[in-house]
This record gives sequence, structure tokens and C-alpha cells, in this order.
Amino acid sequence: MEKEWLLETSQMTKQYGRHKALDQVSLHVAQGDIYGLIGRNGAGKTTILRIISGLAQATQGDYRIFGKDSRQAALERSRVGALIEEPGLYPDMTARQNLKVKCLAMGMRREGYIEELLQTVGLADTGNKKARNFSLGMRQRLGIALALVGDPDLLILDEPINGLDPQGFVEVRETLTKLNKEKHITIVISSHILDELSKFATHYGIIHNGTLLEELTREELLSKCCERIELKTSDTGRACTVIEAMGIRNYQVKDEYTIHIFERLDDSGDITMALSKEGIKVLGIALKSESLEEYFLNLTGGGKE
Amino acid sequence: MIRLIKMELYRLFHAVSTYVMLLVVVGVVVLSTFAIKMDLRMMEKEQGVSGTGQTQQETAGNGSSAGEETPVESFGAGFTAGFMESGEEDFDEEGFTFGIQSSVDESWMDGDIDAGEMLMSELNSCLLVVFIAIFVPLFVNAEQKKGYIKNIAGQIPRRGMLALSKLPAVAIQVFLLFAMFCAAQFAAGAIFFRERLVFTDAGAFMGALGMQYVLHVAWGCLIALFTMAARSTAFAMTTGILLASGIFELAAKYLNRAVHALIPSAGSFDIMRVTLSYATGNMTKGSTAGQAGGFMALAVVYILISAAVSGVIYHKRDVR
Repeated sequence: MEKEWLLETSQMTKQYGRHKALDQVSLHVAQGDIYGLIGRNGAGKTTILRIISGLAQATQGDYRIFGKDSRQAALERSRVGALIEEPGLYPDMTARQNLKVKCLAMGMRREGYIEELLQTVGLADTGNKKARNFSLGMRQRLGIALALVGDPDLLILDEPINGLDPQGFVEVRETLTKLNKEKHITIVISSHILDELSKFATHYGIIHNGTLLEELTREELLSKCCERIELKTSDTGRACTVIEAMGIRNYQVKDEYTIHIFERLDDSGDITMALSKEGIKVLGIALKSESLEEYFLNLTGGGKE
Repeated sequence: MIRLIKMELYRLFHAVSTYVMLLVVVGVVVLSTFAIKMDLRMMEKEQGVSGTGQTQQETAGNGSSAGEETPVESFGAGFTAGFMESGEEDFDEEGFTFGIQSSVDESWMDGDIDAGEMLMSELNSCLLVVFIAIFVPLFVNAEQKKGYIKNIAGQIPRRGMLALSKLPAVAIQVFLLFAMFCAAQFAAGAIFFRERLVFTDAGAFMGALGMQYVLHVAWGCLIALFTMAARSTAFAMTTGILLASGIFELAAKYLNRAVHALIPSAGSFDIMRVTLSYATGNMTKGSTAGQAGGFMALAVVYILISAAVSGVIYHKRDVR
């Protein structure tokens, strides 16, 4: 049976004049994911998020959200909270008043609801301080609180950690993780900083020049980036038998000729000897490691634009 | 829709600009009433010197005029070009008047001053429309300018409702302006003219005032449409002020000529008659029921068109 996605785009394209901001993007987000959309500035992250949050329309292609296509999803819209680009706030209003405006629009009249939201994002003690006097981190957190009005099932956040100091970043990360774990909110979050996302995202989509290059889980990403022995051999089947006989369990067969071994990284000599003894040709063996940043840069064509 | 209207009203009453707007209106109305007093004093002096009861044009402020005499006394800021002949209606004239000018009744020099007529004269001048042109764009565009619209537009099933919900709030904003304008005018009149200020024919006055309110709401909706269409406060303000100042009169004259040249059977066609500035300038206590009905219909058409177009714009256009 085909997997049921909470959000799925299909060949989504967005064109501004002659410029294609998105080119046939198909991404997949499941219930409960924290989906990190990674790409450089101008890669198309914001455009995707604007479309799926209902602020813009795709030129071609479509998306399904909560099992309905975009045209039928009008009534599901209230289940999607979004913070796109920088937080949109009324500077002369307090955090409470900013939230009250959205609560009125969404028909949220529950007693203590605004306090609860402020508590969630750590702004409960802002009192009568106007939003114009908020720090960047406070503004971002108020933006997240605004996105949470209406108790959304899907939260779309565009670069919410951009410009935050390490303390602010930790606070936002903890808030998002808590929302995901405790309220089961699915989160789609974009950033151009892979390292930051890698600390809490469960799934990743890598976008470059409007094209989605790769979708992968956290485990897949880490396995691609961590230190390993990369073994190239003519017969992976028999090679697996040999390395298992050596007591190695943590390994992955990547393709017809390649095996990645994640333990006993100092024993590449022994592995080569054991394979040779069984008459298995070793085409190459090397110790490899790649940081998340390097992986991202290699995928998107290095440092060159 | 009700929720969105509530949101807009909350925003209106929590915006600093709403209260600044009301203060500015009071200030300008007091100044304008004082200018009427000064005008009347000047006219008295001139009449004393010439010893005649001839009518003459009084222009105060930074206005200028060129042309023949008009049958009314006026003050304000503006520019009059061409010539006007008494007894003919404005839209038949060769010249055009640009600016905010209100008329002063000659009989006010030594007799009672009808508070209702004085207020109506100010409303006819489109002075209040200038305030609407300034403050409606500030209110309507705040959501766009501050980026708050991104917080809500995606979660509203029919985005066009966001535009429609602004119009009742604009009507309330215009009501606040209108009420403050009237109250300030009466208060300033009472201060400057004391016992000479009288109030007559309340029924006709209230009818005309109600009609003026509807016409001013139509102005508000039209200016809100300009703001939403252009996403620009400056554009909407400038356009609104120019329209209130009668800039369209110039274009209308050429349009009328072109229509009459192309369609000789067009008869008394005059595009100015379907403009809000014409209706606002001509709705007085003395207007007939037929005229008032026509102005009401015109205002309703403007409100409906503004609502429909702004709704479609919001529905179709990407939110930035």
C-alpha cells in the first residue's frame, strides 16, 4: 500500500516572468516529521513554503495536504500555521495584542489561550512591551506563537533560526521539538544552515536552483556523512559473508560494488587480507568522512554558484 | 466574515493612527472655522470700503485663482483656471477648479449663521475626503506593510473575505472621522460665532448629513480599493487627495468633448455626474429627493464595485 503523506507536492513549478523559481518539485512529508528544507539563499525554499501555506499559487503542478488537493483544501487551511520570512507583527501592539488580532480572525476564544501560547514560546513575561522593542529572538518566537494560533496540525516555518544567537537558536529548537513531541505537530522548516537543522530535523529535502535534489531521512543523512570505511569490491555478496565472519555488524551495502563499514575503522588492512584470502578482489578501500556541510556543498555543486 | 470584521475593528481601535487622525481632524476643523470667521471679517471690511453689496471671491491659504467672478464667496486652498459664468452648472464650464474650497454665505456677514449649512459647505468642499484619503490607506495597508497579512491569509479559506472585511471597518473609520468632524465643527462654530450660530431645518439637515455619510463611505471604499490594488499607501493617498481636489474635472471635460464629438446624440451626457466628487459637492440640505436618490445609488454602486474588485484582487493575487 502506498504511504499516506500529510503533505505531498507533485511536479510543482513556480515561474516569475522568465525566471523559474521552482522546477517540478515533488516533496513528501509524513505525519509527525520535522522536515528540514535545506538550500542556499534563493534556492526556492521560501517559494515552496509560500505555496504550501496558501500565500501563493503554483504555476504548474499541484500539492496534496491532509489528503486533499490544493483546490479542495480550503477548509483544511486553518490546520496549517505558517511563519514565512520575517515575522509580520504590528510594532505598536504588545505580544498579547498581536496574538489577539489573529485569535479574533481564527475564532479562538478559549479562556487563557493567549497566555498558553505565550508560555509555549517563552514570552509570558513581556507584559506591556511593544513588539517594536522586541529582540530578534523574541520577534521570531512571537512569529511562531502567531503560527500556532488555531492549533495547527502542520507548522510551516521559513528560516525561523536565521539571525538568532546560539541561545536563541537553542530556545527555538527546544520549542519546536516540544511541539512535535507533545502536540504531535508536523513541522516543515527551512534553513540554509544544515548544521542547525541536523540537530533536530527527522527528514531532509535538499533544494538547489529551484530543483529538489534529494530527500532523505536523518539516518540516511548521518550515514552519508559519518566516518566509514568505503570498500569497493567485485562481489559484495561474498564480501559481506567475510566481514560478518570477522564480527562486523554495522555496515551497509550501497550498490553492486560498494560497502560502507562503520565500525573497526582501523582494521582496513585486516579486512583487505581476509577478502584476499577468500579470493575476493578488492577494487579499493579507504577511510572516508564528510561533514554535513561538505555533503551539502558536494551535492549542490561545491562552493560555486 | 464576522470574525475578520471583529479583527479589523480590534486593529482599528488599537492603532495609534486612529487617535492621531481624530486629533488632526479636530485641529483642522477648528482652523477652517476660524478661517471662515476671518473671511467674513475681511468681507465686512471690503464691503465697508466699497459701500456696495457686490459679490467677490475670497481665497485664503495657498490657493490661487484665474478667471471671472463667481457668485459664491469661498475660502480654502486650491487653484481655479478658465472662466465660470453664473447661472450655469460647473460641468458645462470651460474652466476647472482644483483644490479644496468651501463657500461662505454672504448673509453670514451680519446675520445668523446656520450651523447645518456651514457644515454642509465644508463637506461639499471634500475637506473630509482629504482626511479619508490620508487615514484609510494607513489603516488598510498596515496589514500588508507590516507583513501581518502573511500570518492570516493562508489560513482563511476564501482569501477575498480578507478584503471585504476591511470595508465595514473603513465604514466605521469614516463614521469616527465624520462624527468628530461634525462635533468639532459645531463646537468651533459655537466658540467663534457664539449666539449667531443657529440650527434650522433639522429634518433636511439630518437627511443631507446621512447622504453625505454614505458618499464619504463610498470614498473610503474607493480609496481602500486603490490601496489594496497598488499595495501602496503613498499611491492611494495621492490619488485620493487629487480626486478630492477635483483633478478628474479636467479629464472629464476632455472626455465629455470626445463623447459629444463621437456621439452627437449623447445630449446632456456628462461624466462628472457619475463621480463621487460631483455628488459630494452637490448634496446639500436643498437637494431634491430625486437628486439624493441618484447620489445614494451612485454611492452604492461605488461601494459594490470597490468590494467586488478588491475581493477578486485578494483572492487571485499572491500574498507578498
